[in-house]
Amino acid sequence: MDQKESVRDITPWDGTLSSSDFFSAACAFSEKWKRFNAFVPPWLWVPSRKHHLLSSHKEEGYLSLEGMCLIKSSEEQESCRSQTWKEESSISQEEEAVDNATLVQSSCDEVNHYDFHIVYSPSYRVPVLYFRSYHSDGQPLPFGEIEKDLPDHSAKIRSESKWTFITQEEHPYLNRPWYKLHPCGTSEWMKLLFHGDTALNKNGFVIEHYLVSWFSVIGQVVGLKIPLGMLETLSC
Amino acid sequence: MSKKEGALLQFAPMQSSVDEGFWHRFSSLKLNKLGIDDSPLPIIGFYAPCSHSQVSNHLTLLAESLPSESSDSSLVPEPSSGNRNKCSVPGILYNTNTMEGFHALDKMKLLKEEAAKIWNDIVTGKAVEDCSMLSRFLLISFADLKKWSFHYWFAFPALMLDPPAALVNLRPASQWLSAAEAESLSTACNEWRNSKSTADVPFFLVTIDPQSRATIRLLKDWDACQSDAHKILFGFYDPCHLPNNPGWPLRNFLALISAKWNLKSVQFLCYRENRGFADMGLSLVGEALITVSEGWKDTMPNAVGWELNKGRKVPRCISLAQSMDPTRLAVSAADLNLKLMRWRALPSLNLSALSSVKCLLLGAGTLGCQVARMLMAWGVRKITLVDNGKVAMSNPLRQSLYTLDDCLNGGSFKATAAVESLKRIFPAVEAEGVVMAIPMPGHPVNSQEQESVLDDCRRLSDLIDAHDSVFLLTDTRESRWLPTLLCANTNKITITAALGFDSFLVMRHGAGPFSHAHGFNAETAISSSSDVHKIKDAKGKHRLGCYFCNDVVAPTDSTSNRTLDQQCTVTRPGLAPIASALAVELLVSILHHPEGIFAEGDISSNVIGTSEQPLGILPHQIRGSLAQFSQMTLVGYSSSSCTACCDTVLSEYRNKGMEFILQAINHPTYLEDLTGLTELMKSATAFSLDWDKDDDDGGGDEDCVEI
Repeated sequence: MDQKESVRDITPWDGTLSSSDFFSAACAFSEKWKRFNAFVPPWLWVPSRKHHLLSSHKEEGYLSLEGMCLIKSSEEQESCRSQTWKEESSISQEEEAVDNATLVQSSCDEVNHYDFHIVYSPSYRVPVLYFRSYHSDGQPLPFGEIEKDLPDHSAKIRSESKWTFITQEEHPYLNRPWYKLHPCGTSEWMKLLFHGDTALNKNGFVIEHYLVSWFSVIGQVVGLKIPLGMLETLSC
Repeated sequence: MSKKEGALLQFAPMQSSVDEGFWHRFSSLKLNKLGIDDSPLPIIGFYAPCSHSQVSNHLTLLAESLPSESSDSSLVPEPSSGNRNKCSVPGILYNTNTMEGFHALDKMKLLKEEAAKIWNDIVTGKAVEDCSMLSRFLLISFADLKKWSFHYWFAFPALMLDPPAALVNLRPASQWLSAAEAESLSTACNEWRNSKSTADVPFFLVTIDPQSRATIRLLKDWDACQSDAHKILFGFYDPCHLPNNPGWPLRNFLALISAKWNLKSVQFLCYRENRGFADMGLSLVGEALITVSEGWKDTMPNAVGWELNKGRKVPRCISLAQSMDPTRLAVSAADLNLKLMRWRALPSLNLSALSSVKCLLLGAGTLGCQVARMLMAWGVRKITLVDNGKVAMSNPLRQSLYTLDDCLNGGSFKATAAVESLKRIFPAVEAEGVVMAIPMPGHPVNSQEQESVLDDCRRLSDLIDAHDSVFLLTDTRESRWLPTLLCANTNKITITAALGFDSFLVMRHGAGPFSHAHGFNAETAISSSSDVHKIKDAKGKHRLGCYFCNDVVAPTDSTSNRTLDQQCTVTRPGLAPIASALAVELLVSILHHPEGIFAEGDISSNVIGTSEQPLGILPHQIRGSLAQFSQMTLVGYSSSSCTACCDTVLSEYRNKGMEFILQAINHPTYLEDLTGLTELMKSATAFSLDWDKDDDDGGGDEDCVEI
């Protein structure tokens, strides 16, 4: 460990972190989030293992924030989302008993549910934000619909910065396509955020605050706000 | 706010939510384990108390709702326990193998059967032991695994009270309880919800003693609750968020309470949370009045519960082709790759031009296979391969689309095997194979074959018409003649690749002599001499040459000559991939050049970055040598005596059509005479130049490599 630290001291930090550092950073992040964010669901660590890989350390997994709801008013809904069914497969009035005890709701607001995962990328050595969206009945949203939900400045960030764009790729643990913010530029702007200050490498400062800083940038693209209190812990 | 006495108690229907993962796991199960077995499958649903003031919770199906696929496990899903966000309830899935089967299911009968199970559990007391049985559900489905769409319909059986229960009052719990009671109840609920043994128990009893202390108990402790001074509430996890209606689980709970404990007046607690904690403002307390007759519980009550789809009693459908169809996934991955290239390195990349260009590959050998693969890598989807040969045993080594299997039983036709191979690599490719020979000059045909040869000519002409870009990748020079002529006639982008033993040529043919640019007036061409006019294109620039423009002999039988187009088995293996790759890159550069086929030929220079085009220079010819590991770019202009693309030849073709072709095929000197090459050679001889005449025997000059 000593040698590793002295190497860290002299080489400029490249903006990345190791897999075990990611776990420490994730714990620090989720704990701070809970502390400062009473009104939003917490980030939970989901232990997972890629079956074919033999990882040397036990703590492999990702952070998960699920069930964020975005309520859309009825006017915004697509008019023909449900398939038009012929009366082949319905239940006629005579068959089912007359039931007045069921509440009949005239209109329902559509809700878009969002799940976010923060997953470590071993090839880029940085965290990556994965997300997906679905309607209340489970039908996934196509990207065109998701774009309507993203905040206005998100499109601006994504078009201006060549670091930030959304792609659809297979989730490394769930093996289904999720959307993600491509990580190719992450190490570059993480370096900038910490001013490439090698002094910060000491005492694990970088690790403890990595995800908070990272999230303060990434969150903007998907409209997830980071509470001010959390950001203030960065300056010390 | 309270409701008036005597009004009907109306329950908010349970709503379903099926996570994508459920369908993925089910598809896998169906394909690998169940097959056509359509017997009912036990599944597990999950729900939790409402946790959001504006959004109801749903009964959710996840991947773990289904049994695992491993061969040694029984077809029963593993129950989870102790998870506060996932109360397990038992369900059953009837999946049919056809759409007709789905429609034909007797829905009322199935509903009755599940309701009967609930009733049975109530009557025998099993529901008191394991209260999640009260929320048993039914799911029917038809999984269309060709289209990756799933038709499904949930039923949440609810036993009907006859007459229905009346609502005496309903108000937020915080208004019904005293402050001390509310606090005590909140604490008790949070403990209940945080303890692994009770977190997922969705029905419970609440007793509040005169000292405002609330206690939560399991249903089976009913007898212990019988103390006069205590208030009793029947509590349940309520997924519904509505302020004026309790959720669906209360229906069967009331049926249980009436049948088991004979109560007429029931105080109930709709337990709801906010951000993970008990919320007495969202939770509701109400009083229901049950007025069923004496004999009500002697027979099985009626049941309702089919879920409505936007107010209609019809099934739902979800399409997951986007995320499950492997071909679609391959297409989007390929597109992603190209888009990344565009975003990060080459913003002017024209992906739609690449995906829409139609490429014709003449020859499916070493060059053809590699060109096809490179085209696909660039996002080209429309590829046609023409070859009349069969895959031979030596081919797979150098011809990258073939394997040993293609060689067996005499060998498959190359054009066919190549297309199959391309589709295995990338299913979304639109590839076609044509088994056809290309008619060649210098290989005369007798009268019986004449008609079929003319057919081939016409077919070739049609093929060229139908494509945007043609690659000449055959293994003889003479087989390139007719395609070159036809391409010059129709001004198609034509790219030639030719191999010697250790050298290669890759070039793009210039525009045809009759090509006209839009809006250009040919009259205003600067040229005064008729000769110059012949070699200029409509833009007034010198046309770049084609493969034959440098020839001084017409293409004839070359098999004895040491020319470039020797049988490819005697070339260094590295040549074909290099030449093929360059050929495709050349096409991509043409497609991105504003002048396309009319672009001038660039020459590479040592000064980096001199080109204005983002993809770099656009050469005319690239000649490379493996012996030197070198490569150079050249420009050659069209010749007015070219046997393939000069305007004399093309005019003759336009006038005489197939008759002209036939002449050229059958008479070796016809083309030379027509273009005046014969004359040229005669006059050249007069200057005592050392021409390498055609009828000299092969081998020729060591120093003079004719390419």
